[in-house]
Amino acid sequence: MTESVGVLPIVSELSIKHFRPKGQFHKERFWERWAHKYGLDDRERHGIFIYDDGAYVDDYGVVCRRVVTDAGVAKLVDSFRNLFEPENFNYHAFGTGTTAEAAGDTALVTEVETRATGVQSGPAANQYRTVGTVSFTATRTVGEHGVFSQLAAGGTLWDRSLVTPTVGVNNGDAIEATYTLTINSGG
Amino acid sequence: MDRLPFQRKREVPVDIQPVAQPAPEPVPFNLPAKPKDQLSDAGDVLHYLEEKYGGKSDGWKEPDGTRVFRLDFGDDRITGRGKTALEAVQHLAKRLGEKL
Repeated sequence: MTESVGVLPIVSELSIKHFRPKGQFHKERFWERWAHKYGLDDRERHGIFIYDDGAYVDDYGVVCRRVVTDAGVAKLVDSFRNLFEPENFNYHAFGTGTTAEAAGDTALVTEVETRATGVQSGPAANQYRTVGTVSFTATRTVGEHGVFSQLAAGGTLWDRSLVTPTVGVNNGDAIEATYTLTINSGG
Repeated sequence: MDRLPFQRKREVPVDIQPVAQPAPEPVPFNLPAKPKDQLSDAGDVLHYLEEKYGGKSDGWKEPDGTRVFRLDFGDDRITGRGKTALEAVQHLAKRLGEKL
């Protein structure tokens, strides 16, 4: 076992929840199909919450821990020079691309839908969190998520994460993305 | 005393301690500036000017709060000023004849 010393890692983490509204989901059919497969004996064990009106939320938990981009860290350096406001990394986008993340990424492979503005918080002194919910207007297979510097298309991509496994959504669904960045001290 | 054949020597648990390795060497990198029609903040503008005109930039904040950015070409320097970083780099761009 080895560990590197002198490294100050920035660690990112993406969690998602899939919301499906009332009327688009047949809970008994869902239960027949999935409960047996996973051996569920209650409806909360797998992070799936089904409401009486048929709506449900599927909590996928942490789906990715990669990857902060080169362009993103360049902007972080710019922010030390007061050339950029780092709080602008607060806009969430989803896409259907499934290409592996790379530090050199500057955009999602296939971005879809309108970006969402996040709600920012600091769960700990060394953590930044932004939570955004993107609504879908068509059937998609969501495979990637990005944190950007602006609501409109373009801007700087801070972090690109694969959503694994992919999430199938329908028109009217939404996915809530919780992005947490942890900056470690020491070195 | 001799051990019987079926008696195994007692294994003493050993704590495995992490072996510290030196951190990898820092790897500075540069990125190409964004195209002119995709400049979205002061940093984008300044990097665009650096790349186009070849100078190195520095900047500071004056006591009255004025933001100053300067492109240094070695034998020449051009400075931009403004209330904000964006105003300062836009002033710098204007002085270089750029229309952003």
